Amino acid sequence: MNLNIKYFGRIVEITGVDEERLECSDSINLAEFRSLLLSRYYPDLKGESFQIAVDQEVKSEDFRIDKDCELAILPPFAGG
Amino acid sequence: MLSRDENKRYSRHVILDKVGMEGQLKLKAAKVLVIGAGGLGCPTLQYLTAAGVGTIGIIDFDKIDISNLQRQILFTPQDLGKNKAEIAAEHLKQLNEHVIFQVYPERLTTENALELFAAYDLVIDGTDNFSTRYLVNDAAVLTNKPLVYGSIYKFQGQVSVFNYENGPTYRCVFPIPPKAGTIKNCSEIGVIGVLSGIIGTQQANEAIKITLGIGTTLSGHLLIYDALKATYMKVAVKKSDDEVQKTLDLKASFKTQDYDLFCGVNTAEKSHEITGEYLKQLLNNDNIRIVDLREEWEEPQLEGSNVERIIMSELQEKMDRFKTDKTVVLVCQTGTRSNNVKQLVEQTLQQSDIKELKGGMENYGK
Repeated sequence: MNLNIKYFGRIVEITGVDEERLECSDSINLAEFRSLLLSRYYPDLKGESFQIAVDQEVKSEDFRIDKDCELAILPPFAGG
Repeated sequence: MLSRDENKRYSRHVILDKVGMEGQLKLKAAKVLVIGAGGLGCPTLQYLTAAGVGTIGIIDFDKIDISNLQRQILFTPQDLGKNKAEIAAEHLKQLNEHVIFQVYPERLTTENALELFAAYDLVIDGTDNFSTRYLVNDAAVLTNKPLVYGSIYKFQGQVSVFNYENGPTYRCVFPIPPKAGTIKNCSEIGVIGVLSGIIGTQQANEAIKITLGIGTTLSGHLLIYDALKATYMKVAVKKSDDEVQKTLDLKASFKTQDYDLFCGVNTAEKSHEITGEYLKQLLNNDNIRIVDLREEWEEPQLEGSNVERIIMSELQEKMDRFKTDKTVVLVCQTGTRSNNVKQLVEQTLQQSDIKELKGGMENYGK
């Protein structure tokens, strides 16, 4: 399946891109996706606080992704 | 009743069928507290004042700097060096004489927050750091006030409504603060000035809708705006009963909570003792290293991804575990071991930012 990933805020400083497509062969839950993102793609994300929205809905870590979708990586912003 | 001048002034509101005279009187009766008269606070305050919100509280300890003028559009070069809350109120009075301004030229703290929030119907968060944002959230939950959240980063902004009609709170959406040492504010990373106006104005809009009871608020949603792409993304967020309960549990000890510690900000100069309720908040927070000095059989157990056990006999060999940029919190059964170890570690490693659980685990959760 195709995952279209959008990064926001300071996460973009680490990924270097604000949007990308990742291929994923098996269904995974968000906790697994999070560790995949950290271990395989962006080790510097370790310790960053962010929520993951699947097709515009923030989901818990046990939510399973099994079809093409859009994932938004959402850190809080502090500025005001 | 509105005066003749007010009737004319608000006529464009009053002819709207969703506002009307009734709505305008609701605005006049409303008391809104704005935390921070900076990038977000300035535009929010201008629209709330123009709209005729009857009482507006402004709290800000900060002084106006020339670098603020790029986005904090209430201020002029004549205001440099003066307090933001006081000057904001001064300018706003010229805009609308019918509004009562309560000015607090001071820092929002755990000491003054609950009493302050209790005097208002609604709170608007225009602060610029995570420690204060968590403080604002908790005080809003504890005093049961709706909170209009806004925040900005470079070219992007977030808006939401928290703690409103049984919806999510800030902690439900962001339970864990970002890692320490990487947290920067506008002065360090920059921000496009007009973004403050866009996000601050949306906060004013949410506050006005809540006050009037019209439309659909952003409660249950986080709105993210990208100024470079001119796009909005609206994501649904859920309430977490656990997070809300953890906040409600802070009620008795709120005044002694250390939000800088929670957010991993250096707190070396502050009190080194933390309470059991507060320790609960720090579990699974990677900014903090919690060291349990007790033997495995000692009860109650303390569980969390950031808890590690170093028993007294391993202390010398594991001394390196205390060498860290993270804040270390020592936990034992009664507070005796943690106090001894604190002194030992501080002497051995010349490290000063070591905290300990007050009274040990014997008092945890009681």
